[in-house]
Amino acid sequence: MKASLRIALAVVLLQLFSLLLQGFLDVYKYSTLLTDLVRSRLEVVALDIKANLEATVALGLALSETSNADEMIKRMRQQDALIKRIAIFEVTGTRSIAVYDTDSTSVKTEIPASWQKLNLRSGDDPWGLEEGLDTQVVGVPIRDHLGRTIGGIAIRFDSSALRARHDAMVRAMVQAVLPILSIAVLFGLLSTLLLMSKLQAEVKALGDVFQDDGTLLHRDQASPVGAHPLARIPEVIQALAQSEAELSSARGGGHQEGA
Amino acid sequence: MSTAPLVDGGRLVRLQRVLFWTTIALFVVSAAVLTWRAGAIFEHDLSPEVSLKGHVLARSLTVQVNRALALGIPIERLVGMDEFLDDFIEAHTEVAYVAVTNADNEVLYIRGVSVDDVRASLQGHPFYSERTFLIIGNASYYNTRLPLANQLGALHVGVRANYVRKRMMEIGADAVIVLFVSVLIAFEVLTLLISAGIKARINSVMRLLRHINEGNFSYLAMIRGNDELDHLAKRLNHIVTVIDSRFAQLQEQLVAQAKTLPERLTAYRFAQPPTVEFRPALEAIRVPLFLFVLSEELSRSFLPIFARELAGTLAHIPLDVVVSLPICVYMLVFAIATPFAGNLADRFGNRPIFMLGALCSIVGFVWLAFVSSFLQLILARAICAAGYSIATIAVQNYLVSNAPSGSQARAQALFVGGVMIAGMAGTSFGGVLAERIGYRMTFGVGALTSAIALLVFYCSPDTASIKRSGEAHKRRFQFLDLWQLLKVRRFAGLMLFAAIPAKILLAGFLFYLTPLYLMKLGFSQSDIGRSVMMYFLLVYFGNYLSSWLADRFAMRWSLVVAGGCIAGVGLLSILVVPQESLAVLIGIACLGLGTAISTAPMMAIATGMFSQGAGPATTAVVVAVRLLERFGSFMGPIIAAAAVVLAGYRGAIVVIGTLGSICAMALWLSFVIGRPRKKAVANL
Repeated sequence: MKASLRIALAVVLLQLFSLLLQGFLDVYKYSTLLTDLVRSRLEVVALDIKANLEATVALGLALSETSNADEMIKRMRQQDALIKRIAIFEVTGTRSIAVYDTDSTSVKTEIPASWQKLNLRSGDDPWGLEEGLDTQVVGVPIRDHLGRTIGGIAIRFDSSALRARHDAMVRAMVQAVLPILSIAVLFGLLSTLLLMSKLQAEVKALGDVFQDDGTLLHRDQASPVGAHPLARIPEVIQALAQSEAELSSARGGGHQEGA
Repeated sequence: MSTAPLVDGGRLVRLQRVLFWTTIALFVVSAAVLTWRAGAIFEHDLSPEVSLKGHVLARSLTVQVNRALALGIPIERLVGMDEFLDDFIEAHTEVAYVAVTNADNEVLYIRGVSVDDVRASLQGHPFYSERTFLIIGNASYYNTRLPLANQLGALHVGVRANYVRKRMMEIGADAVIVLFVSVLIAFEVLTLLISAGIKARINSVMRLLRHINEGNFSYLAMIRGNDELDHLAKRLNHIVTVIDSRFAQLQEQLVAQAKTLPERLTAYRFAQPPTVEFRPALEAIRVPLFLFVLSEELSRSFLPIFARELAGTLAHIPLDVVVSLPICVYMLVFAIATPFAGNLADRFGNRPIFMLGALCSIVGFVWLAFVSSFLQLILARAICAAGYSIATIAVQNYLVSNAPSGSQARAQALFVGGVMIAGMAGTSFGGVLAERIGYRMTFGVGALTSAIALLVFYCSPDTASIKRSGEAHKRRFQFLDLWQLLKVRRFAGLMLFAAIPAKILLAGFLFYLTPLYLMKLGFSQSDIGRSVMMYFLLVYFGNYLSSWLADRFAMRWSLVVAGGCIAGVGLLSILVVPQESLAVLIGIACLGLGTAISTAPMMAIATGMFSQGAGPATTAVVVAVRLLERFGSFMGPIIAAAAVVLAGYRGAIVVIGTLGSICAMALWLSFVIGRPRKKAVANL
């Protein structure tokens, strides 16, 4: 491969690397921002429920005795299309049981172990986790006036919509990157080849002035590099040829003398 | 007849410069356009989400205000509303203002930004719909208006429309880092392609032409590849080989006929077979070195944070001390492995040893990406340390062995430059990567980068025939040398009060405390990476200033003392600067500056002490200094962690800063007290 082409390709690859890396990081940033916004929105919903329930608990009632909780979570679920399920659960010993749930089949059943673990570990902060590709969960612990975690709220939401928007973003970024990349690559290629062309011409000119046996083709032509450095080659070839001829004639003479 | 240069060195440098700037211009323009396009897409796509969140926040707030109203409290007499609304705004960064209006649309309560303008706007337009886009002054907001119970009034929540754009600024900062890393990589790659790809080939052809011009036909040019320069070299080699063969045949016939060489041929030199003349391009090692060090530096800004996540389950030892262990073990293995690595490089050659080091790093990083326990983390880091030690020693030996005489300083500069540039790029880029793709994936990227370094090294013809460094060094370092050196009081003082404390500050403060403390102060992983990068940036550029000062004004001791003082006192700024994060940044900057101005003079003093007489070899002194420095690096995190346990992060920084300052003062005292007579000082 020609040196100029190799450098031009390197410049192009560096361009590709830089733009694709930036595009890749931008897409990641978009996904993070979008997920953050959706999660924080749903955290607000969970925190609203938590405020309601903690106020009830402060009056001395158990979580399962909250009168409007069921109606509240059903209403909140209807207000946001992303929400698949809202569960209010109570910690009883080492288990956590759903006391109110928009999925009526899950009431009085144990909630997933991963929710329980995060709910107990998060202190007073919201928590979140991914459940496969299309579902995510945000939650907040419910605490009593002594600061003990007595339960929690979990909102499971559909993240396939987020994924679809992520994919759309990737397509949009590809559409944005491609023209920039094409122009940058073309310009990089042309400018590098242009910059390298003079050097290449000089190398070619040097190679063009002699044949493979060392004979100079254009002895009189002004060399691109000034006084020609290969002038010693014809000299040595001539010297070798003369010596070979002398040796041959001497051998011939010797033969003749012998004859 | 003179051999005119095909292309002179200056022209190649100019070509390299033009290529480099053209590439950078392309990078900058395309990155700017991409960032601008991405920003537009983000804003268009995410703004509705921000508005939606504003609506949910307004709904949540309305419920709470309605609860108070339901108790029969008149809307004009709600107590503590200002504090309540302030807390709400503080908890939600995207919210710019919250206002409550009565049934006559008079603003009763309002908190947030530009309250007068917002008040005027809300009162002037009573018929806002549930969601309105408001432009007030120079700012714009998504205003959500929800009615309060019994039509007593309405609640307005204004969310900043530029919230997404503000978050986009983070992308802008990251784009600058990506650009910075790309530019550094472009610089390294173009240097490799011009130096090893063109300059080395041209030099090879030029040397052959010079030989031919001198009538010397006993050498051939090195063939590195298959480009036009190689074709030219091949043609010239062919001619030389043909001439040498003809001469060999002629000589055979002359010998057979017992005749002497004709006079006309005595002016020439021939060889059968001719020797391939090979001089490796030293720059060829820069790209593998850069990539290899980059892979290690990628995790620099988050390693303690990652260690903390895994260390959670260990009992009995304070968590802060446990978190320091991976760094300590790394430094310890690094220190122990260095002399052995040097001996291995002597025995087996630099090429297999570099490849062994790179392989160790790949294994270490792959393991790090999958570690499931703290012990595994420590073991994986130990493997990485061994790999780093082995590979960097191989590179240094390569440079020392192959540098032409008189170019040793340039060879050393190639190494230091590569390491520092990789440090700058790695720490900042590692932070960005970790924030986006997570710690484990970033370790995976580290493994991939090491693998690419190995591949580039393996494929480079210039690294293929590395001389064994044993030829260059007559005597290797022995541990006994260290003892002999430490018996020299001034050397011991220099090590104890300058070399070791400098590394305690570096490893204890920068590598251990900074990531953990900045994370605690709410810095993002990218911010931490950028902060750590500042150190490498200052060291890289400060080094030039320091070398110039040291050589021009012969003030080496003063520079070492000043460097120690700057680094130590800089850390103590946390005592007077009220903003803790700013104090940490000042500490990093002072550490970088202090290290930059003291490192080179310190080494010059250490080697200068033994440059005359029958003292130990310079190499032995350098290895001893490095070994003691690594002991400091090992101690740094332990001291810092113990201080954190006793006094917290702020206290630990004060402890480390005090230690650095005291050592600098002790060095100054030892310099003043033990100052040799004038004549001897002049030698320093």
